[in-house]
Amino acid sequence: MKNNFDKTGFLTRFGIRRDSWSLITWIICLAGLMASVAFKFEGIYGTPSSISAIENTLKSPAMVALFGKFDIPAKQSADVFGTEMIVFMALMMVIMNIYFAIRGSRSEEDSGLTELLVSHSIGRMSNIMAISLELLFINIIVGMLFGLGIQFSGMPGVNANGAWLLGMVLAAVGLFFGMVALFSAQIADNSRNATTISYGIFGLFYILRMYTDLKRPSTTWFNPFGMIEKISAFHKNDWRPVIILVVLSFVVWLLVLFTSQHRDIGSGLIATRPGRAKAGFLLRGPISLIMKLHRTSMIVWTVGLFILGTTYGSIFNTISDILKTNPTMQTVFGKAAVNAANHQILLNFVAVITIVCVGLAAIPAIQVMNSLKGDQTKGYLENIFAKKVSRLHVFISYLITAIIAGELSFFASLMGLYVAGNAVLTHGKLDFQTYIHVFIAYSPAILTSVAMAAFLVGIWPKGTLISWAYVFYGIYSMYLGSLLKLPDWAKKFSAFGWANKVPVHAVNYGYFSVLMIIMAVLIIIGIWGYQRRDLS
Amino acid sequence: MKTNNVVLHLDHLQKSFGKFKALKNITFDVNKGEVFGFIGPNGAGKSTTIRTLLGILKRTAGKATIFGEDVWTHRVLIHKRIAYVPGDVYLWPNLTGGEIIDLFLKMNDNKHTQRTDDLIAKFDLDVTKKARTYSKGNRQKVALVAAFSTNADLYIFDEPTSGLDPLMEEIFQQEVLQLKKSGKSILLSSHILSEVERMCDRIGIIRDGEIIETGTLDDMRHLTRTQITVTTKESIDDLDQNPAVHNVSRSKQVSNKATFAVDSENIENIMQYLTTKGIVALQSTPPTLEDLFLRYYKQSSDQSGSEVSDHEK
Repeated sequence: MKNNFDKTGFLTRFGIRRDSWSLITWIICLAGLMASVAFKFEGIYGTPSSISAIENTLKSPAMVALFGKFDIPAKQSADVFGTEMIVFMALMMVIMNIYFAIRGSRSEEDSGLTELLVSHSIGRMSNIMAISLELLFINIIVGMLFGLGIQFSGMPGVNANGAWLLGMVLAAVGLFFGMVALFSAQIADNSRNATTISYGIFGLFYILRMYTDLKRPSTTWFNPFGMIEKISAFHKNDWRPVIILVVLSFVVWLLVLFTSQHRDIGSGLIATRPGRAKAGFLLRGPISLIMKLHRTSMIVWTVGLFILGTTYGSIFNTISDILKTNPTMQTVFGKAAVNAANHQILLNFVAVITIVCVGLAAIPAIQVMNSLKGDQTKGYLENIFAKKVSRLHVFISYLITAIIAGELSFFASLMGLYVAGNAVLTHGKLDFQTYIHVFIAYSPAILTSVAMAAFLVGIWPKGTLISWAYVFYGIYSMYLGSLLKLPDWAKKFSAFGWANKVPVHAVNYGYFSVLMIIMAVLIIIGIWGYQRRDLS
Repeated sequence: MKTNNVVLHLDHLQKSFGKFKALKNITFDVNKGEVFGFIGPNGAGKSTTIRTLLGILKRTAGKATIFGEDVWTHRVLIHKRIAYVPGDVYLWPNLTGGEIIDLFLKMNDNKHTQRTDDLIAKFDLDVTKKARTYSKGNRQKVALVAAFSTNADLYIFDEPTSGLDPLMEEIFQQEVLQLKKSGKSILLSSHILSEVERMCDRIGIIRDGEIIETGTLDDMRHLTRTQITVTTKESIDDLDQNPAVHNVSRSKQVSNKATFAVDSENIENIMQYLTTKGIVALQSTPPTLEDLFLRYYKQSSDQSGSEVSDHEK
């Protein structure tokens, strides 16, 4: 038995050192975000009136869809904190865990490093063991920092038990999806597919959670992502979700161990099929090549966002019913809702939901643009650059594919809203034109994100992480911005904040043009730099 | 040398990465219809030179032209007429070998011809497999098949056979000689000396980012020593006195039998000396590229330059 885990400690330390910079960045960002919001929270929701206002808001279907359904009474700041933050932070924890799990397992195998390692005297399960321990380590650290941050935030109503419960349930849900990602890494035979499978499983649970929260909240208990809403922090302090998630993680981990012992290194359970002996007619140059490479991912994102759109759309009728009797909605949606008819409220809801959709749609777009750097680092482009294909041609090919990937999946999400929304609404349907306006108003958010990525790949390829930071900031400032009462300038810092709340207001073509000019300038500088620098 | 026959011309090419000087002084020409061997140890700057030639890296100083055009400003123009096989071939994991070969051909306006199929058969490559399942050798085959079926004027190979088995190496060499016959120019970087020795008309030796020697193999042989094993009638004990003779070792079983190395330019007077002693048997081995190579390596580690080594067996 000892033999099976030989050198695990060494490999774990090695893994942690390999990931040290990313680990530190993630830990600081997540713990910092949690702690800073916790410290600020009394200022945002400190008075009984503001708390009762937000309590009603949080009970509306739109908010339930975004933040989950809670049955604890909101009396003090800590109660609001526990309900507002948990789903968003869990989302972040899941993203972090999938990232590190795939990076430490399948990516290592893709690059041939695992093969090199197992040729040495290490145990058969040591590799899997090492990355599992690393994930356990990250989650415990982050969970503890969460617990400490909340406990000492001085928020009214906070107590140690509740604070640590919040921290630990987030750690547990992170660990669970980390294990799910490790399992995906055993099934798929390359890291990209493993990541897609992991996000697919997570997306399914996320959407199911939204659905059961709206229809039958008690069934959310059966959802590993949903059960975190049931901890009742600072009240009943139910630790059962933590225990269940830890047990589930262990079960998935056993599955991982089992499958990892029953497959060859470098291959997955899903074998790669043989392909065509000659290139198809369409595969003939850089653009068609890059389109082909990203085809599967583009389809997955488009279909995924369409489903998300239909899920949001399917609750349109519930929104107009309940919001009618709930004027406090304005805390979230702004003054426009005060004098709102149902229609107006619905428009507001569309504006909020669109932020989520546009933020998600920016992800595949940036992925494609950044793969120009990735493909080059991996040496795939070496041969292309020796062909009579100019750098401009290669660059533009990635850029166009990136824009299509983003805009297509964004459009699909709006079509999901349109189709499902109008299917459930009996009167006051939103016409197609409305969605076209939404599309125009929010597209600059995707386009400037791509332009930012293009700028960095061209000028400063080491800084490509910044374009991710830009998108995450955009989503964060708009997803949580209103609830955390972020100042206006903080929201307008990214293009996400300049959409002028379409469809509530008309499209502001002034903003639109300025953003387009910024985009063009960024892209031109990126191309200029790309033409002049070493490609190594 | 300055004729229209020069396909590739490098003059004091330099390349720095930050403070690190990867290329200090690279100067050589490749002429039309010749195979130029570019040899040197790992990390000497072979791949950096080639990647600069392809306009992937931007040179810091010096002159570099292919077909008379600047390799940086006119790279796209130049690339129409060249074929390249990188040292480490990395391919998109989810495309098949066949798709990649065709894509490479199409990008330079070439077509998948009968010759492409012949090459695929010759190199014994399964083109229906996805690139992620290929070994290093198979990835190299993909790039080689694409390059050999490309109609170009200059072929650049960067350590093309490092992952191939001896059988495939043989096919590679045949194909290169075939190209040479049809008047194409080839730049072949390698550290497999036998390969360079068999195929190259001229060679350039690179060490620490500097070309330290160029010329034909024969030119360079003058710089090294010939290995001689001789048996004579009379005693040759005073052989050591001659300054051109090195590393003498005498046979214990056979009297008057010795093995030694001699500076190639002094071979004549040694032969005269041996003749006076009455030669019974004589075996001479010309210097191999390996000797040349080792000689230059040793120089760098000894720094003395005078203490020249030979291979001894």
